[in-house]
Amino acid sequence: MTADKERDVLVIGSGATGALSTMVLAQAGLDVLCLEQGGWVEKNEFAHTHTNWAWQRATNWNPDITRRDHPDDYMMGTDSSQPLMWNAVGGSTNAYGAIWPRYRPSDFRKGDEHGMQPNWPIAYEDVAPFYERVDAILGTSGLTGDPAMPPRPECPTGPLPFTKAAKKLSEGFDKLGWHWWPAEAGVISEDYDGRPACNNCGLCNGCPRGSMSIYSQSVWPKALEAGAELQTHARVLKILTGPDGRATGARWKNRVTGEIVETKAKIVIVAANGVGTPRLLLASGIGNSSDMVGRNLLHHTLVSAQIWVDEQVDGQMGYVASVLGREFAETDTSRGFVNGFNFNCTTSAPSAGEMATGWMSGTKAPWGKDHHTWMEKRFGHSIGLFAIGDDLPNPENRVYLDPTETDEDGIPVVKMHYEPGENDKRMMNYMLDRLQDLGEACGAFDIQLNDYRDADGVYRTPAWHMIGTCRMGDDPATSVVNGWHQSWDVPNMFIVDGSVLATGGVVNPTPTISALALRAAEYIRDNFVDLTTTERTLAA
Amino acid sequence: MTADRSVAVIGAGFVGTSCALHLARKGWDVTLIDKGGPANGASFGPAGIIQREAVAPYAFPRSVSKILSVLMRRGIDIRYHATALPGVARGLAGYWWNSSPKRHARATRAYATLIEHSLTEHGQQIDWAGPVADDLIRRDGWYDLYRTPAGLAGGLAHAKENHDGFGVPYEELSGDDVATLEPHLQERFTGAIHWPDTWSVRDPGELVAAYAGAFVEAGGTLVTGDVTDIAKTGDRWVLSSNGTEIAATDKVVVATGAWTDKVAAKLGWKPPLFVKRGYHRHFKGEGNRPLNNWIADLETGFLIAPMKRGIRLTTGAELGKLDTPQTPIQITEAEKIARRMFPIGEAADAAPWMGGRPCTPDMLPVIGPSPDKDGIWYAFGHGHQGLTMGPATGRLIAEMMGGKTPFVDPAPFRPSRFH
Repeated sequence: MTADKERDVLVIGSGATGALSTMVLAQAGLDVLCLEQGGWVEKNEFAHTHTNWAWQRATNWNPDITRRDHPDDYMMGTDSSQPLMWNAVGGSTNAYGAIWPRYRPSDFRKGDEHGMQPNWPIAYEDVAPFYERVDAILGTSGLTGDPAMPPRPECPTGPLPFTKAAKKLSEGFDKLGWHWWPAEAGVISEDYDGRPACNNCGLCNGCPRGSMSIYSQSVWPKALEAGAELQTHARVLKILTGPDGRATGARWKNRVTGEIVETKAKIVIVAANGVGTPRLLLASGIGNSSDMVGRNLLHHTLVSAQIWVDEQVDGQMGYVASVLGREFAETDTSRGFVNGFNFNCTTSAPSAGEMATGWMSGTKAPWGKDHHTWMEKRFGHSIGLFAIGDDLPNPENRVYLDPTETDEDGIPVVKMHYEPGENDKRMMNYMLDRLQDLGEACGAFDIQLNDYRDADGVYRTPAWHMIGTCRMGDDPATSVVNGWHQSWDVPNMFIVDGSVLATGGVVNPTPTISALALRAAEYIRDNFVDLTTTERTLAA
Repeated sequence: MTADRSVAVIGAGFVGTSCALHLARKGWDVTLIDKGGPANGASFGPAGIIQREAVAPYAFPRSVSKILSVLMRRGIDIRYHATALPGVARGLAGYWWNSSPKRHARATRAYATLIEHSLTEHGQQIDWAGPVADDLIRRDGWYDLYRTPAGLAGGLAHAKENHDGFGVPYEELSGDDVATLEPHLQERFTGAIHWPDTWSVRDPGELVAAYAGAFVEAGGTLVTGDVTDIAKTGDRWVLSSNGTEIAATDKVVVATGAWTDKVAAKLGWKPPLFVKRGYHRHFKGEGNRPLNNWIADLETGFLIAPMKRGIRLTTGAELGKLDTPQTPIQITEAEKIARRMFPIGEAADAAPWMGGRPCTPDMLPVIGPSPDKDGIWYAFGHGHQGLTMGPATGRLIAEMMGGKTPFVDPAPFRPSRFH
């Protein structure tokens, strides 16, 4: 084991939050080392450069880590969820959809609203300015003026093209009198910051052009330019602490040479997201006096529908999201459950091959002479719809370490358990009914709903979002970090990623996670000297 | 491709040639250097089996009776020279220590990761080299013959362990099966174990030459020369032979097998390497009584193989220094026993050949970057399995030098474990 010089800041994980934290702190002149267990994804590795791109996105580019086999993926066991994770520079932003809605103000005050979720220790207003600043870094596109959200300045780039599929959907929403608005996206609609505008190719599994914001392309160059050091193929085995319980650094393995290295640092930022962060804390035996580390795993309630309409809407072209419907975003207990949900509507639809073999709903093309008629009727005529809602935290939904099985490096294997609760199930049933309504309002000739329950009734969510597992709060007994992401137990350790989200909201979380990361990084920057010696974490 | 992509590989045995071949195919500018040409060292002389079944490295004998019988120079499978012992004491002590059941099991797990890829990686290199390589390969396995029921039982127990732990297939043969397999055997055996999932090489030296040919075809440069000095000048490593520069490259791979102690010394490192010498001799056989298969009598300690050059008789391990004279006793004893067993005919070689197996105390090869000399990489210490593990090692080195996570975990092989 070799030790090198003490760094100012050690960042574990180079995904969205690792990238932003490293950038902010390096730009402030601090000596920052970021450890990333994967490597850089080369442009020619993306599905786009392969003629069998549809096959690629079911295999090598499958967002579900349990369905891939890259050398840098670290395996996890899951009893139902299909986790979206990517181990490379830029993290899971290599595989996400970059749909960019914000949390609602009520998402931060659920404790006051119905008490079945905690209040955050901060409010929407604390986060709002950071949403804008992240948007400016990435070049977020969208249309201002959404009546269902608080006012905001213009997006840095204008809305993406309003497609035929979006127009069709808008007609359905209008017929029902439901809110809809063009989706905001972490995708640039104009050339921005040296990256080219989206060309609407419709294959949103990563983006070699850099039009979709993959943080290895949109943020990492700035961090490296500011003097940050990024060590790839570095798997952290343990966060090290001293006799006073403060973090001293980390032990990690260079996966290229096999060397084990211990690096010392004054501040440690853990940015390994909803699975990686609790795994590391549990494996290191730190930060868990609340017994909340790994618990309260949230995925969002999620159901979907595939609808087919008579008009040719060419859903296979264009960015993956078209409109968001916020009609049901707030609680209305007359529905029989608390919390709300959004409609996420996809424009991007399958290739002919994917369509024929079932895509979202398992509706397959027949063999024989009907195959052609089926394809003519359906290919270019389908639209995908998702409904995503706020699931209630359950301490038994969790990320945990296997008691006996260890990986090749001797670290216990990480496991996940998730099961929707009563409120979640009621919400999902309601969502399915509303998807049916929407399909009918669009005049669809076929509506196929998908509740993601298998033959045994087990809910197997495509778990794009893994959040809540190291939640933020103002009470050390029921949370893992304070309002500044600072660990209650280890005052110079910060958790800056999706683990801290105390509630899931009704939306894709990356914009909120990124905004929080910018805020936390600036706090660390502005209080660096104190934080290097602080011995107590205070409620923010 | 970046500017700093030139590399010199020292040593053109199975390991060095495979490293050079993989690097050349990845676009590196490669110079492969050997003082005598491809397969000048140990790689010329092995039994010629790609031992996909050998997931466990050979351990230091643990039973007192066995150790005593070696010390008293009974048996021919393991021999030693008293003069060699002081130099290898440190290595031997480590070898004994690492042969405890728990530590040996740990070494086996790491060893197996390379053994498991032995056939596929040879297969890949054979593809690249073409028919000149493929014509040398037989794919019907080898046979481990047993004279005694106890020996057979022991062999089977070991085979079962490898099967259950690592999926290695094996078949048991009866005495009658053995007689049918090799009708010209002159002795009766109790039985045998067949290792079907192994390949044999009808001329290991020619196989190295074929791999070297593929290397040259891939753009590599083969140089004959004895590297006497390695020194860093600016940001390049300069290799010279008695004052004449042979190569100047960004990186160097040291793949010099049993000679690595000399080379590493020039780089300020004294790895705990010790040498197990081995001998072979070719015999003409008797035309009307051919040897059909690779057959070993490991209880006694030798193997005979139907190679291109004739029936090759190979011996077990002898602890001795590389540069001291041969001691014929191991091979002459083996010849006597082999001749009783099978009509091997007249000697085809004027004298036995001797080579040195490079061994490490923990039985694992050394593959990886030098911990203190930037740009120097090591690939040596493969013990009894240089032939078997050469291509997998070549791939591992090339992947590591390319900066991406390699196909097997390199940690057990890292040079820094001996620093």
